[in-house]
Amino acid sequence: MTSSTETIHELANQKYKYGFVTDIETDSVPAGLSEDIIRLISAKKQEPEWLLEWRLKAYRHWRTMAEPRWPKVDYPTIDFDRIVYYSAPKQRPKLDSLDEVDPELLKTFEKLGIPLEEQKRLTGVAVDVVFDSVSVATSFKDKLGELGVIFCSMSEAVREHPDLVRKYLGTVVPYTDNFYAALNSAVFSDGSFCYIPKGVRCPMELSTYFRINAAGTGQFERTLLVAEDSSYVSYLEGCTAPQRDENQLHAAVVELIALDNAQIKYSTVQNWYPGDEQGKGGIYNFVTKRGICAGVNSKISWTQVETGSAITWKYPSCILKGDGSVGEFYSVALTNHFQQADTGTKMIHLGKNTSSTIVSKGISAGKGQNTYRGLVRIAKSATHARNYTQCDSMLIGDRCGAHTFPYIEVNNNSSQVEHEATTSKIGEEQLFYCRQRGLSEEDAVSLIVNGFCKEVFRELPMEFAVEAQKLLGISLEGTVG
Amino acid sequence: MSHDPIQHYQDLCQSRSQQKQPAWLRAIRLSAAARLAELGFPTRKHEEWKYTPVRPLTAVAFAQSPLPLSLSRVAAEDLLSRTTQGALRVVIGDGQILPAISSLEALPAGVSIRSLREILDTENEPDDLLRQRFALALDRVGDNAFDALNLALFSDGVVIDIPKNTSVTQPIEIVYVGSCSSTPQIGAIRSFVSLARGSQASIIERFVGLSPDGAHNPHTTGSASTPHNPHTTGSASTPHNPHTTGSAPTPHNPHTTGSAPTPHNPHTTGSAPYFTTASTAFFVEENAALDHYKIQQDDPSAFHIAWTWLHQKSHSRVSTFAVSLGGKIARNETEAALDGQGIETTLNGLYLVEGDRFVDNRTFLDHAKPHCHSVEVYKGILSERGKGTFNGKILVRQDAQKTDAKQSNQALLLSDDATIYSKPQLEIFADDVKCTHGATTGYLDEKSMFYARSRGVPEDAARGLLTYAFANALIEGVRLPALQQELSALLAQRFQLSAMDDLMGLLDEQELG
Repeated sequence: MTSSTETIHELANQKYKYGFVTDIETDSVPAGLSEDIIRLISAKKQEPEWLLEWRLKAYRHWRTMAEPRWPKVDYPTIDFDRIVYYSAPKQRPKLDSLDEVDPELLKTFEKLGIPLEEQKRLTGVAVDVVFDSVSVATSFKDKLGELGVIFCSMSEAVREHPDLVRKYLGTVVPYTDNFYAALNSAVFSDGSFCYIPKGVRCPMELSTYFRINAAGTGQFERTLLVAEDSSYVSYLEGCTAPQRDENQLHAAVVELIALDNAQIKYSTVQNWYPGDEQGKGGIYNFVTKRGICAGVNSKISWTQVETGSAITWKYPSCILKGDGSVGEFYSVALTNHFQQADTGTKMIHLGKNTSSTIVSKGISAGKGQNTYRGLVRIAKSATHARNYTQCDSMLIGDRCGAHTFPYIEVNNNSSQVEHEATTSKIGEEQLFYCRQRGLSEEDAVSLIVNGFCKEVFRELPMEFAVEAQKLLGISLEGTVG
Repeated sequence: MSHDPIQHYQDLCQSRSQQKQPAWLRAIRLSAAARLAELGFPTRKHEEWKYTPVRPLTAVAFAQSPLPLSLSRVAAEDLLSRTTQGALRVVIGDGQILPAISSLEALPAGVSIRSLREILDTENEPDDLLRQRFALALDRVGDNAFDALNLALFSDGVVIDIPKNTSVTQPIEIVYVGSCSSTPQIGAIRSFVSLARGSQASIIERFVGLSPDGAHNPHTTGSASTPHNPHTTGSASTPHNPHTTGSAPTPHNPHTTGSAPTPHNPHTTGSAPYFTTASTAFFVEENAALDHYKIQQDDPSAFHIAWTWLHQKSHSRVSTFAVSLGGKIARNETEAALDGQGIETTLNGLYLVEGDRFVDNRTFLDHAKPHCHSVEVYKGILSERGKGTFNGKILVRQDAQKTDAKQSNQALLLSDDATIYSKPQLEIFADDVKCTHGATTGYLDEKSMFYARSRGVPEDAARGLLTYAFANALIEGVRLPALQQELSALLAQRFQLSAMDDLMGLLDEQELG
C-alpha cells in the first residue's frame, strides 16, 4: 500500500507534457466584448455582411442571457470583459504552403506530434490546426479536393463556399441555444469546415488540432461538418494548452449534419491543461456539440476521451430525425486532483425505428468530481425506438465523487428504453488476482482501468486509441491504493 | 377570474396565524408564509418540478374550512368500509380529526395517539421535542414552496408515540378524507410519529376522497362488490352517479342528519376538487422497526402533495410502500435520512395512472453514515393519457463507506399516449460502495406474451395477467394480510383478471397433468 502511495505522489506530480508556451508574435484584439469588438473581429476576417449581422444578433441575444449554474461544477464567476476574444499568430496575409508557416509554430506542432509535415503523409490523416483563435494550416487539401471533399478552416469556407456555410451554419445549434453557444456565435474566430459530397467515402481520417497558446485569451472555434447522401467520414479532434495559473475559457460549437444514409464518426481526445494538483489554473471547457441525423438511416457516432480541462462541461448530442437513424455516444471521462466534469449526451428520438446507444465510463480520482448527465427523449412520433444506456463509474480514493443524472422521457409505448448505472471501486478480487500472478499493483490497476474503458477505446480510430490509453495511464496510474 | 395564488395563500396564512396557538408556532407559521411568498410556486424551470404541471393546482382558490367535516351515517359507514379492517384508526376530514369515527380505545400500554391541534391548544407549554421538530421542519423547507405552504397552513395532525421496546401488533391507520364540495377545500395536515428504541409498528396512511354523492371512485378501490363499477356495469353513461345506478347510498346531506349546527358541508351543488397536503415525519430510533404503507386513493379530480420524512438511527429498519391510485395531480415525496450505522431502508412504490392523471414520485435517500443498506423499487403502469415521473436520488456522503444502495424504476406503458419521465440519480462521494440504479421503460415483454398466447390464453387475458404479475411482485411484499389481499384484489379487478379465474384453473390442471 505504501509503495503505491508513493507512486501516486510521484505520478501526481508528473508534468503536463503539453504545458509549454510558444513564444510567437500574436495579433490580438483588446480584451472585453462589445459590438465594436465583434465588428473588429469580423473585419479582420473580411467577413461578408450577413455573417456580421448573425454575430451581432447572437451577441444581442447573449446579453439577455444569464450564465447557467445548473451543472454540478463549481467555479468562480467568469469575467467576460477580461477575456481576449481574438488572438492570431502574426503572419503574412495568406498562407500558400506549409513552408510559409512561422517555423516557431511548426516547432510547436512537432513537439505536439501533429502530423503537419509532408513526411507524415504515411499516417494518412488530414489535419486542420487551430492555434489560439485561427486555423493555421490544413494538410492534404488537394488530395481531398479530387474527391470533392472540402476540408478547410471556417474562415476560408466563409470566403470560398459562402452558400454552403450560410445554408448550414447555426441550423443544428442556433445562436439562441444556450449561453455559451450564443457567446461562441458572436465571437467565433475560426474552426474547421468539412463537406463530404454525395456517395463519397472520405479516404482518410480528418483531424483538427486545437491549441490555446496566448495568455488571457479564450478560444471560440466553430466546427461545421456536413455529410451528403450516402457519404462517410471519420473526424478526429485533439486539444492541448499551455500550463498557466489562470483559468482560460474554451467555448466551442460543433455542428454535424448527416443526410440520407450518411455516417459521421466524430472522435475527441481532449487533453486541455487540467490545472495543477492544487486545482490552480486549467481550461474551462464549455462546449456545445450536436449532430442531426437529418436523413433516413443516417448515423452519428460520438466518441470522446476526456482527460484534461479543469472543468469539462459538454453533452455531444444526436437529434435522430430521419427514420431508422442511429446515434451513438461512447465516453471515457477522467477527473483527477480538482478536476470537474459534467458530461454526457442527449439522444432526441424523433424518427421511426431510431436507435441509440450510450456507453459512459467515468473515473474519479483524487478530489475529482465526475458527473454523467444525459437525456434520452423518445418523442411520440418515434415509434419502435430503442435506447440502451450504460453508465459505469469508478471511484479511486475516498475524496472524489461520481454522480449520475440521467433523464429519460418516453412518450409512446412501442419503444424500449433501458438505463443501467453502477458505481464502485476497483474490485479487490480483481486486484488480488493480478497481484497474485505477479503484476505490480501499478500494472494491475492500469490493466483493470483499461479493461473498464475498453468498450469506448475500441470505438476510437487506431492512432487515437493508442494516444487515449497513454493519456489515461499518465493521468491515472498510481492513484490507487 | 383573476387569481393570484401567492396572495390568496398569504391571506389564508394570515388568518391561520391569527388563531389561538403558542407564540413560537405562530412565528414558525409566519416564517413559512414569508418563505412561500419569497419562493413563489415552482414552475417547469425549477429542476425538481421540471415535469409537474403546477398551474392547474395553483389556479384553484382553495379555502380552509374552520369547521370539521360532517358526514352522514351512511357516508361514514361507507368510508369505514374502505379502511383497513382490524386497524387502530384516526380519521381526518379536510384537515381536522373526526373523533367520532376514529377508533383509539384499545391502545396498547404506553402508546399514545393524539391530535396535534389538541396538544397545541390545551398544553400551554408543549414538550420541547415538538418545538424542536417544528424548528427542524422549518429548516427543511429549503426551496420547497409546497412544504412552506403546508407548514404555514396545517390545521391538525396526528402525534404518535411508540415507547421503548414496545411492539404494536395492530396496524395503526391514518385516514385522510378529502371532500369534493361546492367550494374547493384544502386539507393541510402535519403529523409526527416516533418509534423509540427497540419498538416496532406498522403505520398505514390512506388518502380517500368523498364525492358529493358519497360515492367513491371505483378506480381506486378494490372491493369487487362495488355496484357502480364502470367495468362491470358498462352501460351506464355516468356510472359514478347514484341516480343512474340507483343502488348507491343516499347523498349525505346535513339537513337530513341535522347533527351539526352549521357544518361545512355545502354538498348540494357542483363538485369542486379538493387539495390534500400531508407531511408526516417518522423518527425511528435505534433498533426500531417501522413498516409504512401509503395508500393514495384520492378522487380523480383531487390534488395531492404529501411528504414522508424518515429519520433513522443506527440499526433501525424502515420499509415503506407508496401506492398511488388517485388524484388528478399527485406528488409523493419520500426522504430518508440514514443517520447511523447498520440501517436498512426499503422504499418501494407502485403507481397506476390512467385517464388524464399525473403521478409524480420523488425519493431522496441520504446515506450519511457507513454500513447502511437501501433498496428502492418503483413500478409504474401508465395507460390512456396518464403521465408519470420517477425522480429518485441516492446521495452517499463522504465517509459513508460500505454503503450498498440499489434503485430501480420500471415503467410499463400500456397506451401510445401515456408518458413516463424517469430521472434516477446517484450522487456519490465515497469510494468503497456498491451503488446501482436501473430504469426500464417499455411495453409488455413479447416473449412472455408469446408464451401465454401459444398456450391458448386470449390476448387480452394474457396482457392482463402479465400486467397483474408485474405489479403484484411488489404487493406480495406487503406484510399486513388484510392490506395485501385488498391491494391484490384491486389489481385483479383493474386488469380484469376475474374472467381469468377459469383459465388459471385450466392452467393449473395442465401443470398437474
